[in-house]
Amino acid sequence: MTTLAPAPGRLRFDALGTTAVLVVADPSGLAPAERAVRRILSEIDRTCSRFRADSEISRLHRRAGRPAAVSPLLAQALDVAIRAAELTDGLVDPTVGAAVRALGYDRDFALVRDGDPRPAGPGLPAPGWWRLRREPGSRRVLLPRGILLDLGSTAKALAADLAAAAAARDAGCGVLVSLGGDLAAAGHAPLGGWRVAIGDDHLAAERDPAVTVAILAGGLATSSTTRRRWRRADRIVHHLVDPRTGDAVVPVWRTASVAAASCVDANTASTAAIVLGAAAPAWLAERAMPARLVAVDGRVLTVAGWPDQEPVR
Amino acid sequence: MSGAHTSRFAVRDRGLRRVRAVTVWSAAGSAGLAVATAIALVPPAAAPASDRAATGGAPAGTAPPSPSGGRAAPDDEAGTARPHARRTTRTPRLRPPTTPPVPVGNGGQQATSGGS
Repeated sequence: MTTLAPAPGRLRFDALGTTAVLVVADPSGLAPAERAVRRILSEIDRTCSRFRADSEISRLHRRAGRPAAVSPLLAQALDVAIRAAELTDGLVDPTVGAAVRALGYDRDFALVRDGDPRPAGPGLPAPGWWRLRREPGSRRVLLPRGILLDLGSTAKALAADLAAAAAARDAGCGVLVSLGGDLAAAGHAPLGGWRVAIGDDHLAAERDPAVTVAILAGGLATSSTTRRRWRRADRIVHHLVDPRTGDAVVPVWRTASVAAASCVDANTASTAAIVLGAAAPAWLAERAMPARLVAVDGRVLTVAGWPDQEPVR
Repeated sequence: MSGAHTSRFAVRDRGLRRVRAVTVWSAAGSAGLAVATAIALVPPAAAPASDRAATGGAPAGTAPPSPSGGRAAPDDEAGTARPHARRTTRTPRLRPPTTPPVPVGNGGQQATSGGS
């Protein structure tokens, strides 16, 4: 058993419905880095949370059908989500909100995990990201009525990228930010890189990691069907929804970890891999995205340069 | 005179200005211009169906097999044509890391990555 190494330049706190971890290469930079990270996470929450009636995306939903000018941050978050949809041909689609809601994930997850005895309705395939009207280079957007957005994973990954960049700038040193296991590194990494333990569950991985890797920069994200699960009538569902069917993915891989140049790209690829299932290894290899896939039976497959070394215990 | 003609124009689409460019190869430049103009007048919803690359299953938004047979249907049907795969070239690829992860022994980790 291992635990997170004691580090004077490290802290953890709750944010965005998950756990945020901040690590700095120079402990003297922890305070300014923390301020920067908290500021970014607060802005993301106020902007992108579909669970807050006062968030900007909730206001956008209420303005559906009419052109709206959105904040620079929401414009960026929308563009990131649309880009993810384009690059995955819709495997990751921000218009999946109605489907996620229909499955029961319509509140903060702490209120969802107890389950719902009512059966879920039929799956609602995503209407499609291309229905969002964005004027390139502007902050104008038109959300057609009837579309519910779920920026979920891409917004969290964007938050990690933005927070790491801001923290590294303000702290003047290398910084690693983790949001529920989606990580972004910015600035100069410590000698040997940032050591990251990988597992099905980002909390359990502290005590019992499957493997540990070092990264120097960019992002690393893990998507898993083993977390954020709840009972819906007589079946267990989870938060990873296939936009093509509107239903929870029937998993081939229980966990997919991907490294990329940014946390957004890592998260996009790891989510797409779960949705793709058996086709994921070829899809990732074609894109040269190093990944570690864990099948539902525990078999591990590594692709595109992810080290195939299994645990050193 | 044969050659390519590119027509770039702006259209108003549900109140948002969009710039479209159409390139037409033709045996005569003037004929190409005429065809480009005709294409410009076709509303977005009439754009050709996608011939996107296969990704291991029915792409999202293409009437996939569903128990309900339905979808979360927006009331705004403008622009309902699924984008052509070639439109995804603005940022053509996900970006791999500059260096792949390096294996290290367990222990001493600074952070974890897993489901949340």
